[in-house]
Amino acid sequence: MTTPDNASPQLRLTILLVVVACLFSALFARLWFLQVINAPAAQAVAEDNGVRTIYVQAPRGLILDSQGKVLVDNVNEPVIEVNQEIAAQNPMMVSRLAPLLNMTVPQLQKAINNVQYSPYSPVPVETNATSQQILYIQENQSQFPGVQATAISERSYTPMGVAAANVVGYVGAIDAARLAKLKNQGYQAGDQIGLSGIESEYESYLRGQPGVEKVQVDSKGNVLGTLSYTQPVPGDNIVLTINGAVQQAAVTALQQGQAAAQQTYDKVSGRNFEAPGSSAVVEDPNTGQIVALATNPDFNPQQFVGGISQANYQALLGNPDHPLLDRAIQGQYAPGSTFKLITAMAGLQYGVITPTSPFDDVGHITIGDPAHGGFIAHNDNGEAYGVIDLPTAITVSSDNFFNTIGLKLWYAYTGTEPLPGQTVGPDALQKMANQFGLGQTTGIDLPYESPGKIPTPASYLSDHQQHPNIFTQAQWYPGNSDQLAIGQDEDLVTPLQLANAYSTFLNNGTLYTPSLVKEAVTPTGKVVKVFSSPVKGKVNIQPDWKAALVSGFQGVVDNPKGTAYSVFDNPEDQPLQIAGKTGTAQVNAPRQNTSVFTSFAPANNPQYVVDAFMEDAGYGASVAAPVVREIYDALYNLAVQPVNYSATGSGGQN
Amino acid sequence: MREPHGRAPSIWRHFDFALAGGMVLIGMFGCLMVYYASRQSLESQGYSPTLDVKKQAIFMVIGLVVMTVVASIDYRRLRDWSMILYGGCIFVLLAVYAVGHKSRGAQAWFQVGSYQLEPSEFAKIGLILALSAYIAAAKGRLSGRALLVVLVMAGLPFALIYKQPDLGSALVLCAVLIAMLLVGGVSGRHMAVLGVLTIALSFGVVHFGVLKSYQQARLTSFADAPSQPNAALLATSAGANEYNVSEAKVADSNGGIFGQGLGRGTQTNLSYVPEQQTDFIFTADAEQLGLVGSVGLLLIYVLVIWRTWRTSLLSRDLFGTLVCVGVLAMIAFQVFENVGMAIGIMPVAGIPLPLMSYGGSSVLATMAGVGLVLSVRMRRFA
Repeated sequence: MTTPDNASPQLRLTILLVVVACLFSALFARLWFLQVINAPAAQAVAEDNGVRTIYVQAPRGLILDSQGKVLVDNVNEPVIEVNQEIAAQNPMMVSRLAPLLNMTVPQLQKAINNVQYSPYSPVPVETNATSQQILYIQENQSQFPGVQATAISERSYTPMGVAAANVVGYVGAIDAARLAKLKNQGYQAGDQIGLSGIESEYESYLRGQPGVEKVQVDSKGNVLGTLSYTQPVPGDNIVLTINGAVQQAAVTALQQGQAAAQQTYDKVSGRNFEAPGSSAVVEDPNTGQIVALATNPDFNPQQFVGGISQANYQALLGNPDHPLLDRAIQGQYAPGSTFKLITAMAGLQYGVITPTSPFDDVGHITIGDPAHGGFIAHNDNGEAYGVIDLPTAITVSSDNFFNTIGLKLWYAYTGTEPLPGQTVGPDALQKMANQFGLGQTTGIDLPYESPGKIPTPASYLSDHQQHPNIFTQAQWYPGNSDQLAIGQDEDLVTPLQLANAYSTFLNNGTLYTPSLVKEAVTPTGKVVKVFSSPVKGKVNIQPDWKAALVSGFQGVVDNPKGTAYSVFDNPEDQPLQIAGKTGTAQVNAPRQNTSVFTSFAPANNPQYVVDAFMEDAGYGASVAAPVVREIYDALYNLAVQPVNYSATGSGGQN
Repeated sequence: MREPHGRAPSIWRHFDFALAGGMVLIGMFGCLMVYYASRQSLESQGYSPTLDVKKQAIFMVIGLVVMTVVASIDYRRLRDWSMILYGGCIFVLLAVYAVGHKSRGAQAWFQVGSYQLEPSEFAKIGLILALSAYIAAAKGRLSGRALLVVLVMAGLPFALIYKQPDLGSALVLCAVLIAMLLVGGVSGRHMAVLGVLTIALSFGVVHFGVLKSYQQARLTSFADAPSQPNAALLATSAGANEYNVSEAKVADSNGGIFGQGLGRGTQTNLSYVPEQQTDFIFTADAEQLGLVGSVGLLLIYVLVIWRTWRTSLLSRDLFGTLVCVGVLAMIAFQVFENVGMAIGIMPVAGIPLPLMSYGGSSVLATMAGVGLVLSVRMRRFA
């Protein structure tokens, strides 16, 4: 049955062998390509496949005041976190957890499946856990796989920090737009980020460096183990130039000043002063550092912690008194008579006056031809001060004196009354204001600063061309120069600008960009960076000019004829050598006069410039000056006397 | 059958130790790779990480026994049984079609205890024996009529396996058929007609919707580089297939020349390559042991194929030659298709890598096939 047949077809077998050899050659060639030529690229892909990076937020730096007192702190908030992956595998755990957190199961499920969070970091589902909830979970941990009762760090504001809300700002959960932009810096959903103020401007210092944990995961995303872990580097503390106690005292003084004004009857408008808002600035004129930057009403930054509710935010936005407005840098007010410093400087510069030249104050001045649209400008109450010089003009706040300087500068430009040896431009006065930093943002480290406005013939024309219905007047008249000279017309400054202008005058002409931050310090106290106020410009101030003006400002407080004499007649204030200038800015009805006072002390070697602006509150001496006095009490640790509305003080632009 | 210790010189003197040794080597290698490819996914499901490798090792031992038993049977006696074996295979294929266990979308298994028996693997051996017997009877000159009978003989199991559906195993039958027709003496004219028919048929199959869309996607996916990122690919069923190939290629390339080392390849050990202990076992080898490991493995296959080819040449009869050619075609095609798929030059078709892929039926069928070759070689003088 097994008859051998030797028909073994060799040729055909050889063909078969060749075919198989070809096929295997193809395999060998391809393997060579993949494993030798292509290997480096594939190794990168494979590594990327198996490793996930988790960022761990670093403890945020604190914000301290110039005395090292804490304004913004971190507190540990108890939270309950759930691991997404484990929750997905344990629906029973979710249904046990929900009633404990007073949530329905779908609510909790929705909270857990928050797509903003990386699947590798736990999702906080209860950020204000009670100790009972935490205890229950810890005692019954086996029933709650993937649930963690832990604490997360949150911002907390001391009372001083609340008083400085406009400066320190607030943090909040990063939103989608910022997240998309900052993802490569390791920001993750749910991370806190500075949204305003110092928190926002100094985010890079405060934030620190997030920790980086690299975990090995399999194809289904299960974490298999930690490959590497880099500890987060805590953020640097920011030490402000702000003195928290002074800041707090300033806010209190503003509140008292507003309350006092609101209880006072205004004869001009026939109703009580409304005094809806106010602001005060304390600056060190020698360094440009801001000691206090107060605004009232303010908001409580604590309500932004962990995310402000839509209702609360709308309430802040809709409040007619605008608590979110930082009046110190965003409020724009006519400076009134405080502007006379600028007018005096321009008059001295162009030789309109000398520090001692006499001027006969007759109480009024005629501008143009009254028969043809001109008018007569009077001193307040029509008072005539007789023959006076520059210091007295400041002390008594003679409008007549400064109106005349404004007019003479204008007539020198028009050629009506040339000044010997001087070429005067159409905006000589305005240029002087600009040199003192008015009409432009100061450049302080806070967002949304207002520039103010110093009107010029050119601005009149261009405003009219752009908005003819609002700015009906296209041409600059002598009367505009007259009004600008006493801080009226369209003249607008911010409280910070005015303090900075007086600082420039007092430090002999250095215009600083005011600063809020002294230094950045590590949590262990090592100074990382020291900040100082950049110099923005120089103003030519002759010593005799300064001496005459300072003596005038001293007279405002010391001289019985001074506009703020009665406010500072307390013997306790005498050693402080406070000097100052009142201002009363007239605003269109139904608004009431803005009460302005700016000051410095000690007069012969100023350490502080303090100013206050009180909206709809009357004369500068009535309420702004008492507010400033109370701030000095805090600066010099004197017994604080509550702000009273001062009935004295002369009127007008004083 | 003679006793190995009889007075006459024993046929076991001619036992091909190189071939059998190669098989043992591949089997051991396979166990190692099954372990690394399966442990992580087993552990994550709560099983012992050695569950699969233990089963595979048991099958290897049983396989060696089967190989020895088959080798000890005179292959010529099998010629007489071939039609019975063939009939049995067809019957079992019909049975699995009727009452088989459905798993992973195909009805291709019998559940025996905790094991799954895959009749299509054994059908390959049955077909090889039946075709060898029939073609050998024609003594190297196949008439048109005989050719038709051969086609029907091959077509029957092909159709049943294709219906399961198990396209891969059906393709193996085609490869076996073509190799045996080539060697078995089909005329050049018939070969040409068959070739044209095959091309026309494949064209029709691909373009007129005979193939299920996933099959079509599989067969064409090798031609294109993945068009989307890997994770997104998994979302679609056609995409899942592209993912298989691209992750497999990453795993292969990731090995480099010496590989990542056993237990170290991230693609292998973190279950990135799907179905790795079965159809994509080669990637575990390539990633962990690199070019050295993958080329080394292929060289052992080359040794096995070479020894089988030598035996086909040495066989004292055409039947023996054809049996060897069938087994050679079976092993060579499976290796080529499986490795080619893993390295992206062949379409994805579910074909096990002989003795490497996890799966008892495949191990047993392959060992039985090699047992036949050993038997032919031992009896080349007897």
